[in-house]
Amino acid sequence: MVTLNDGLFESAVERNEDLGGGHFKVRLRFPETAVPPKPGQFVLLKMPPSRWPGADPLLFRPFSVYSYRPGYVEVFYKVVGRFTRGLASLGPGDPVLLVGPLGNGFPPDLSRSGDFLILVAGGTGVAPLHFFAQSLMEGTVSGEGRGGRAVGQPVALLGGFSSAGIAAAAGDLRQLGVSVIVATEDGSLGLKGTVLDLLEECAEELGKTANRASRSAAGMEAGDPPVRAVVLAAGPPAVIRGAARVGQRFGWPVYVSVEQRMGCGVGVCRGCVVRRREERCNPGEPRFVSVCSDGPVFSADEVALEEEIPGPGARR
Amino acid sequence: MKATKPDGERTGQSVDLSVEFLGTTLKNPIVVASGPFGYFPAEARRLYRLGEAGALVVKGTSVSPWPGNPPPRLIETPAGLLNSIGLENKGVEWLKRDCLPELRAEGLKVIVNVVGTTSREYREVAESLGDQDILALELNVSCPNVEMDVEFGEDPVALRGLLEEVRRGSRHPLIVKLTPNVGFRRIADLARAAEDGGAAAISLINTLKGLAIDVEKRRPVLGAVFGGLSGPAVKPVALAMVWRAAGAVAIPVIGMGGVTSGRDVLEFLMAGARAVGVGTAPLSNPSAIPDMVREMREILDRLGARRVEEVIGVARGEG
Repeated sequence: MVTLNDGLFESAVERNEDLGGGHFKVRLRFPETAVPPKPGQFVLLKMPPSRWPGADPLLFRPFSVYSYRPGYVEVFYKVVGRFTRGLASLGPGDPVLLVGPLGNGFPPDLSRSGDFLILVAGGTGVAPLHFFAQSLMEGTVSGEGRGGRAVGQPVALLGGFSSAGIAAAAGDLRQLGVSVIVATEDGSLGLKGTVLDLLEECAEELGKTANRASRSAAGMEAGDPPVRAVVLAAGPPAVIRGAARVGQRFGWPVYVSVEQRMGCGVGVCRGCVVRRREERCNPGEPRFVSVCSDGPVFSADEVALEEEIPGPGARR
Repeated sequence: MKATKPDGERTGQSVDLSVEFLGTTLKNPIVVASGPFGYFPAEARRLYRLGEAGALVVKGTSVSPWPGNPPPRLIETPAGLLNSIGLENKGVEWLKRDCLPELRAEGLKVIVNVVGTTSREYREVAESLGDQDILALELNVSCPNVEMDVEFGEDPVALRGLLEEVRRGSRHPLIVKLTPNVGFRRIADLARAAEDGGAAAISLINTLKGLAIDVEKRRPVLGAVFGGLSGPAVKPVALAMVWRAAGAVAIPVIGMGGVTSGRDVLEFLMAGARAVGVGTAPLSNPSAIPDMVREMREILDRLGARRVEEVIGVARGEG
């Protein structure tokens, strides 16, 4: 485990597990002396020149941290191109260059006592949400800012996957007390459908029962204000857009983990930006925020989640 | 290959990598090009070892903040990178207040890249930086990602006019950053126009105009449609233009484009450059700069050169 530059490590694969359907979970050595990652943060990965010489592929790739223990991080990925294909071919002992942890992570004070936490995961979006749920349930990160999960705070992870095999990516959370509800495109496990179908159903139910169940669970009085849910979403743009719309409909706060191609990973090249919502920009404030440094986690009402359509020529 | 002498000294440790440039001594000929590392905050300097370069060129700075182009702004290409950042920057006042003091405190040699839409805007930035302890101003006269009515970098007459205006307001030497998008035939004309207009040095190449299309979405990948290509793929084009430009002017040349190794740095120096810019390389190899320095020493030692300045222009039969 060699520290090269500040934040850059020559890591190595400890294990690289094939979950089926082109999905993998890889465990990478991470120095115990380094800053530990927080849920929602990511690492940049690249094969070292000794393994993959030349200028192709050129850049590091970002991956959200799926889990962390002293000594290693785990990353959950799908083979979508030559980089991930190369990553999938690595075995124990193979070296990997790693930069991290990077990014802002989920805010520590995003929910209050009695809030339902709904984690909406589309495919590989399960990674940051898994780390969040794991840390929350183990008491290493707070949903409240005071250390430890609020008593009686229900946490549900809704996961949409292409098939049953990779749905195992969230399975271990059940043992920690998280309700894990799965939808698969092929119907091999859980609901046949998408995670947004699941969210629709759950949100409707929650909207009806939140008051009764949460109130008694949290020991609240009749006159207390209505409880709410907080939604955390990660995955393809359609999933985070859909989650943001549901949250808006029910008046629940929504936090999203955004993906974008990256250059430097530390906020200086300005290559990975997304647009801030018009109404959030005061005169003189930046119109674009970087996913790598201002994010990847944003409040859904902070950023414009609709796709940008290329315009004719440059705009300033 | 790291050969060691009997007393354990690494190869080339006694090779002098310093170069004289615009009245100062750079510890090595490597200059970090403007753009990829913005204003060089400490975190970026530490991860990418940027302080080990001879000088840093701060990102294109305008009179007032520019937001930059809509995303997506980046896409990797074979041995390259296509970007359409669009010169997003927080403006010159922010630069002076929040950025330059820290770089000065670190003892780094800084050049500020300047952008504008009119010659008057360039001059205003120059005036605003008049009291700053910096090495030079680098005028970005055509970034492929920003459209302007007058392309200073493509029109020798307009370029001379721009320089005339900016020199009125600037207390610092001016470097003109040339674009390759005028084509190989015309680069010497623009280089000469810069020299005639009073530039203290030229730098080239900026990025090559390029395009990528998303087949699934049936439209361009980048939000601003076109982008600028950098990275190893452009090196031969850059080197040809540096050779041509260096032959056209007497003022010093900063050569750049696709430099990733110490060997590449030496190629540009031998072509006639006095300093060599590096932008994309550290994104691919965060240790690129110290690796380049080490490799330069090794090769120069093998070539029997005691000082890097000995090899400037040698490929053209000079030096």
